[in-house]
Amino acid sequence: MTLRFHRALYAGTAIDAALGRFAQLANTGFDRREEVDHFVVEVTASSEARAKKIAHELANFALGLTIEQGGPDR
Amino acid sequence: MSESLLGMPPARVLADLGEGCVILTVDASMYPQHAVYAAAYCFIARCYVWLDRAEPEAFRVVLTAKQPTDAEGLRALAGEFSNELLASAWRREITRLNRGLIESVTMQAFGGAMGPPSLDDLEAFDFSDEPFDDPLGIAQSWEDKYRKPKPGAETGAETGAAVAAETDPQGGAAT
Amino acid sequence: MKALIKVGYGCNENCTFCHTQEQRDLQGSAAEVENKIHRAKALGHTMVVLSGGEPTIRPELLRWAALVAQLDMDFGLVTNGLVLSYPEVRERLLASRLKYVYMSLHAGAAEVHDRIVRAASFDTALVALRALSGRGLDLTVNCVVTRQNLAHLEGLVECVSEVPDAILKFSATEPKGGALRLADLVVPRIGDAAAAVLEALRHAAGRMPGRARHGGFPLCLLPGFEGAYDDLRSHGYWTMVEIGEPDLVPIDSNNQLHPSSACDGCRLRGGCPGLFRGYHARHGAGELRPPPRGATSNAFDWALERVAPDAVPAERCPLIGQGTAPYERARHLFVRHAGKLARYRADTRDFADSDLEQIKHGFGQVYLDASRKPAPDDFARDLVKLVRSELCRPCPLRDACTGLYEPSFEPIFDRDEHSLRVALGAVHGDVLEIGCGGGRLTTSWLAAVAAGTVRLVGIDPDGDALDRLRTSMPTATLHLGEAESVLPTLPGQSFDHVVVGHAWNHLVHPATVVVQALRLLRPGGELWVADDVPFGLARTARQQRAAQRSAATWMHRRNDAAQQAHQTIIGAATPAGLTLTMIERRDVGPDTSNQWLLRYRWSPA
Repeated sequence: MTLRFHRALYAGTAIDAALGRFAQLANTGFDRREEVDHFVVEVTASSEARAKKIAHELANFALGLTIEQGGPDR
Repeated sequence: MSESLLGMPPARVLADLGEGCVILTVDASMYPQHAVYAAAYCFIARCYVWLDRAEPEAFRVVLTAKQPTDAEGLRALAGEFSNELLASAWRREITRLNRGLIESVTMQAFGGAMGPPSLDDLEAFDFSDEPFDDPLGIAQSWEDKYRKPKPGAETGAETGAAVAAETDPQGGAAT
Repeated sequence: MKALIKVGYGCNENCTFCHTQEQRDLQGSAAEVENKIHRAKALGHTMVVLSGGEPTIRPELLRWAALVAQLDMDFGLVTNGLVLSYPEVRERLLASRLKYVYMSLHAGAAEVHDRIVRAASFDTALVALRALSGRGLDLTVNCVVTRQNLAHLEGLVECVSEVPDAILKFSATEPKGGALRLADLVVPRIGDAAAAVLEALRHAAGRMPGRARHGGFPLCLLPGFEGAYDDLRSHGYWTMVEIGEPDLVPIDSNNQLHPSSACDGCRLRGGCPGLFRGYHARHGAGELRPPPRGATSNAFDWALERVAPDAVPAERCPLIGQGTAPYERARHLFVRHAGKLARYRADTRDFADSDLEQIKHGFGQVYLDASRKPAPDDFARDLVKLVRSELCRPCPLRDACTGLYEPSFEPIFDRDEHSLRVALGAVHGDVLEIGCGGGRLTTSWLAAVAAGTVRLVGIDPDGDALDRLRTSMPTATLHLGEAESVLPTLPGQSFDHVVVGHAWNHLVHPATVVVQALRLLRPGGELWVADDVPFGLARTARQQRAAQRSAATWMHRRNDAAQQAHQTIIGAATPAGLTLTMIERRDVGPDTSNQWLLRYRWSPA
């Protein structure tokens, strides 16, 4: 499951904070990389459904942190 | 697969009933990014909210309901989000006149909308929505398995002779 | 209690009798099914059973099962079982609290079963059935009896007898969907089908004792197996819902009827499905064989299910807000009192649904048992009348809703009994009371008999009761025996009044008694008939247990109200050349006790 966070909308620091929090989940892996316009996170889990559920939660949490800090990193 | 929702302009609002989500295209020239953020924040508690740039002058907002919902529920979600977006844009405009007061009220209203996700909940979640394996094709519909016309596509009345002759147990459904 | 949720009508078989054959392309959305599962939980169900079509072919099957378990309910399936032949699916469903499987198997041999389901599936079904055995399931094998398997039922008994924890059920085919389209080829005559099922049940009694049932067959056609009926109610279903329906609705038997010509007054009626309406429309009721009358119940219980935890305001209806559709109009009972709301439910099979509807909403005979007795015997003291709330009066849902009831503290039993006793106490001359018993009404004439203005003759088959009455009214002439035997021994035209007081529904042959009694009246003499209609009692579990332990027996042979009794009386008198004029009629209604009265004058032509 791949998440492509647009740099104009998501803060990289928020994504990192979310990844730090979700790293505690068992049987789940995260791979973060950067592209020109996007932060890309690959979520792997024991099943596709589990990966999807975790990706949803991760994206939500990253968005919430982004908004709370006032937007993308400057 | 995306489809339009009754009463919603398809250029702006589409739904994916299979995924249980609604996809909104928001004109960035009318709604500033902070308004999109404010509206999104209100929905974090009950939806998975995903933001993207649809094109240079538009945001793409995907709302996936956390609880199962139907087309009517998705339509309501889209309508509520649009209202919230409008209100957020308006608040931002007013803020310029009375920034301190309005920000205070707004943050109070937003306060507590999002807590950290409960990892316990995630660990406990039963990920059993994966379809089961069907290597023998047992769960195929009768029409698919026996290459029969779908209901409604049948022509002519079923006859007694057909009933009597139908289905060779060794060779599958005949006629 | 179970909720039956249809998930769609697609299927991996295509049975000749399929009721939903015209809708096989209609599959419910996952969201719709999941909303209904949540609704079932909110209503208080303890099990969700998915049905179709074939629910197991849905890719969401395991997710739905998990959701049901997550909501702390058990899970069940109405299925052809084929997908359950996969061990992984079976194990995961069992892990999600699969407790109930109602599985189709229409013969004990592939060539018969497969022809009915139009698919080569017998062997797979058998694999699943055997694998489900021994897993602690409530497991039923359902066989729909069609013309195609009528001669093969004993083979199925042999097959299922080897699955030690399976119940085998034979179901009548309803002329509906595919079975209606091909009625002449698929639907057997009910008499023929019942005869074959009777043979199979007898065979099963030897091969798999106590594990064979039937459903959809009139009980009078299965003598000896009347108690082995099996239907949605006996399986503990409360509600069901089809795809597209907005809310769960109570199960009902509206597709069946008890033809009046054969079934009125039948003692088997309560648990009997009668005939499918579609079958009755084609073939009538000529095949029914109603048994002789016997004792029948005249009361039932609504058992307390729950009391709402929060206080209920007096000024608005507490039912409308939560949706009234899932509640059975007759079998549920909501009682509000002192800010509390209690929900009761009647699961009796002593009465048919139509009878319960009449008792609750027609006669309004709804009471709260305020006694600690196994069976209330002093209604005026033991029972509190429950009446529809004033809030129901203007409500547009009034005639569809189960209703909100509240106690009425009117002394209706004392009032109605007193009124009858005053009327009887005003007569004089020669009085015959049929069914005088211990003197419930007879004492109306205590003073008149002592004064010599009434000369009383009583008849009753209960010797102990007559002994008690003899003590209080020593000058009365009392005859021991059934009315039909005693009446012919009395001299004709020798009475001014004949009274059948609270005995009408106990008479073996009421029409005979009417003619015999009228011959005893002098010209201008009067016939009085008073009796009770059945009633329902709202009771706690403790009261119900006490009632079940009691030795009370059924005394009634029918449950006539004034209208049925009037028809019998006129129907007996007219052919005998006896002309009656009705003087008075008191019917039962929501603002009366359960006692009715008919009063006639005989005038010779």
